[in-house]
Amino acid sequence: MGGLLSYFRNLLGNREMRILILGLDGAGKTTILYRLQVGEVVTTIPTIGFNVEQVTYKNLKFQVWDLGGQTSIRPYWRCYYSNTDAIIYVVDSADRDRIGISKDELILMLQEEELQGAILVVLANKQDMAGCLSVAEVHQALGLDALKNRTFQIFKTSATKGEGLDQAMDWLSNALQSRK
Amino acid sequence: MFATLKNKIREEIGSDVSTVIRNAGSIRAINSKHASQTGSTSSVSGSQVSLDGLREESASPLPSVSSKGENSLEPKPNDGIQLTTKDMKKLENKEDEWRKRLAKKEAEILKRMEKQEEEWKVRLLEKEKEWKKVVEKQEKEKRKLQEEIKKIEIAKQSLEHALKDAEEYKKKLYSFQEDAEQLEGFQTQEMAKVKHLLLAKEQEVDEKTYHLKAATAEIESLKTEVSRLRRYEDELNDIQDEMEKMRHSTQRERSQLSCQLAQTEEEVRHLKDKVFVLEQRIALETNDQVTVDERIADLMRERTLLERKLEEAHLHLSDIKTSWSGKISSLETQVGRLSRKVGEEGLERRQVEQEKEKLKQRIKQLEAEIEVNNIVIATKDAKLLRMTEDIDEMATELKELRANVDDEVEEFKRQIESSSKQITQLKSDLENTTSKLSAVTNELANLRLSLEKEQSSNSSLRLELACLQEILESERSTAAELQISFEREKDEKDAALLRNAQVSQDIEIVKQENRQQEIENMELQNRVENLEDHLVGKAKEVEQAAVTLKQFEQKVAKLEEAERNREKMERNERILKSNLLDLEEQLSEKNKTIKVLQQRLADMKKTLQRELKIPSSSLDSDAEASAAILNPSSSKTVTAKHNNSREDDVNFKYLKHVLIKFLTSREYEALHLTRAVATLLHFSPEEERLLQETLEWKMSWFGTRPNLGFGQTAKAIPPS
Repeated sequence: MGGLLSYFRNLLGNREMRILILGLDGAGKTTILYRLQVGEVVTTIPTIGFNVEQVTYKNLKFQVWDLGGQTSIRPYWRCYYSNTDAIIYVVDSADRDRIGISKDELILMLQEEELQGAILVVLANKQDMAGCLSVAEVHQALGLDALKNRTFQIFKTSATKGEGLDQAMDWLSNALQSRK
Repeated sequence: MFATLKNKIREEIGSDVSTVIRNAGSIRAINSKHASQTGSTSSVSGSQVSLDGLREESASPLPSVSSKGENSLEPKPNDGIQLTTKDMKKLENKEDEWRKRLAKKEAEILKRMEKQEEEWKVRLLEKEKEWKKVVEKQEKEKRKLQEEIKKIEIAKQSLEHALKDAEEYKKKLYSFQEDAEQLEGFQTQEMAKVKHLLLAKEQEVDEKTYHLKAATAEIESLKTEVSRLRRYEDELNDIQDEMEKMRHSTQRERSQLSCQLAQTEEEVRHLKDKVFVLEQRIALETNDQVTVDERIADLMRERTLLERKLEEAHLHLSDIKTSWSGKISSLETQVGRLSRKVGEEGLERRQVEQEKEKLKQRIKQLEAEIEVNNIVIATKDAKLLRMTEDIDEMATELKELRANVDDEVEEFKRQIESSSKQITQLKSDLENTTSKLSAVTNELANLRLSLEKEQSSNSSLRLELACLQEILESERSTAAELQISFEREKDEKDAALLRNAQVSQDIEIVKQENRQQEIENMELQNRVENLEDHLVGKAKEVEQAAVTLKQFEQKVAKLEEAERNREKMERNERILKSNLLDLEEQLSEKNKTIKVLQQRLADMKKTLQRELKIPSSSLDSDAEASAAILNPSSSKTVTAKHNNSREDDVNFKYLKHVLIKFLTSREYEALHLTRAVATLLHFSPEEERLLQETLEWKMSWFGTRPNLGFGQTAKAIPPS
């Protein structure tokens, strides 16, 4: 029955936007997901698997997939890439040691054929932490200067304080609507 | 005074003092008589006489009595100047008797004197004690009284202070009352002000309400007018529209009419031309005589005419066209004008609407003002109420203050009264005490007087006592002299006896001494012998000591050598110790270097491990299979296994999570998960496709079920 409903919805053309939230473990993906959905900071445990939530932002419906970012289950990200409209890539700005790994993962992901049309939003998260990297530093560390043929934008956020998420979602919704 | 003393003494002794003194005088007379007889004792009697003289001088009231006594007694010895041995014996016997008696008397007198003395002393002491006690008591009383006086003075001062305080309180009270009155005045003034303000406010409020009502009435009238005008406006609009319509229609009709007129005119012209032509033709036809050439010429003429007409018609047509274009342009201009008019009308309407809105806003403003005014009125009312409440409160407070002030005044009055009472009481107490004090001082004076009297009596008694003592002493001295003479004689006798005894004793002592000296001689001889023996022993000991001395000297030499050795050893030890310290320092330095090297080694190990971490794990996992078989006890493989199992655990958890989501989600969502499930379970591409197709089939309404195989290779449970 649910299948029927979704089928109808598909027929009507009011398709939900499919968004993936990716990033290394402990970057704050799940917190961001539930901040977007509920508007509150919930206590989270490490995601082994994924979380899917429907997020409505300014009359736009998104189906947001938050995939677990642990090293051993990162290879399974590529199983979810098909039919993806946008990617929210979350970076822990305070984790200077693993920013290189984060960059490698991002580059590996962007090389995928299925994601060539996807919009990229990079969130430099945990900006409230002391001694964190600035947005410019994160931009440089992820090598976003070399990125071409890709609509993308970087935002500084703090999921626990709810800063910067609205701007990012504004930009993303505008980008998705203009692309359609 | 002496009479009382005499009486007392009489009571004590039991006889008159004079008799006693008389007796004493007789004794003296005997003494003097004896002295004259013996001659040897003349000096004694002389001294006695002199004593008597002294007595007579000191004890002035007695001499007559004593002289009398002497006169009565002295004749007897004077008569017996020439006496015989018998008389002498008698006299001696008498003397003895006298002496005995004298002794007895002396003893008695002495005893009595002592007794009296003691008693007197006791009495004196008692009296003194009593007096002292009395004096002390009185002094104590005096002190007490003085203290009381001081206390009273202090109380008086305190009372004066209290009085002053009370007066101050009174003053304060008056000031308080004044303040209260002032406050009342202020309050009444303020009340009046507040009332005035209140009245003014009420007036203002009334004015405001009046204004408000007027404004509302105006508004209502304006509204009614507006409504009325609206109707008229509509009508006006209708009329204007109609007028416009009429105008348009008239214009149209006029134009039509003008057109028709033109047409008719043209037709008329045309017809006239035709008529002319036809008339010419008719005229020609009528003239049958006309030749063909003429006819042709006519026809030609006609043709030219017709051509000309055609040209005219063409010209006319062009004229008409130009007029049409002009008309069209005029119409266009008219349309433009009309559109402008429409725009203007629209503008006017907008203006009207704006005005309407403005009016509405104004109405709203007015309403708001009315509300504000209402609120203001309400607030004013509230303020009024509050003010009235405040006034009431102030009045109550005033009353309370008044009551308090009255209470305080009463309290102060009561305090003043009580203090004045206290003052009067204290004053009466003071008077009482002063009277008491005066009485006590009087008593004290009396007591002092009595004390002085007593003291004077005491001193007189003391004087008497001193006289008596002197008498006693003189008696004693005489007795002592007699005794001395008596004892001298005894001593002489005893001395002779003693000498005799001493001599005999001396002889015995000498004998004893002799014996003792002999014994001592013997002892000394023994001692000499012993000492000689000792001497011999000592000489031997000296020899032995010399031997031992030599031995000791030898030992000392040895010890000196040992000491030298020891010094050497100490030097060696010092050197060794210094060496030891150096070695220890070196050791500690070595230890430090070892520690540093160990730390470096640890760092190097850590860096090595870090560098080897990623490749090592992969290598381990690669080499695990073979290594596990070859040496399963090695630590590397075990850790690798651990890692693997942990990863497996994560993978398993992931698989479980994805599968649960896959199984519980709808087909539409599950379709997104087919890839993940396929990857996790290592599906072949065919299997994955099968899964996807099955899901799509489930989602679709029509379509065939995908081929799932038969029998053992079937991928699905066949439908029952």
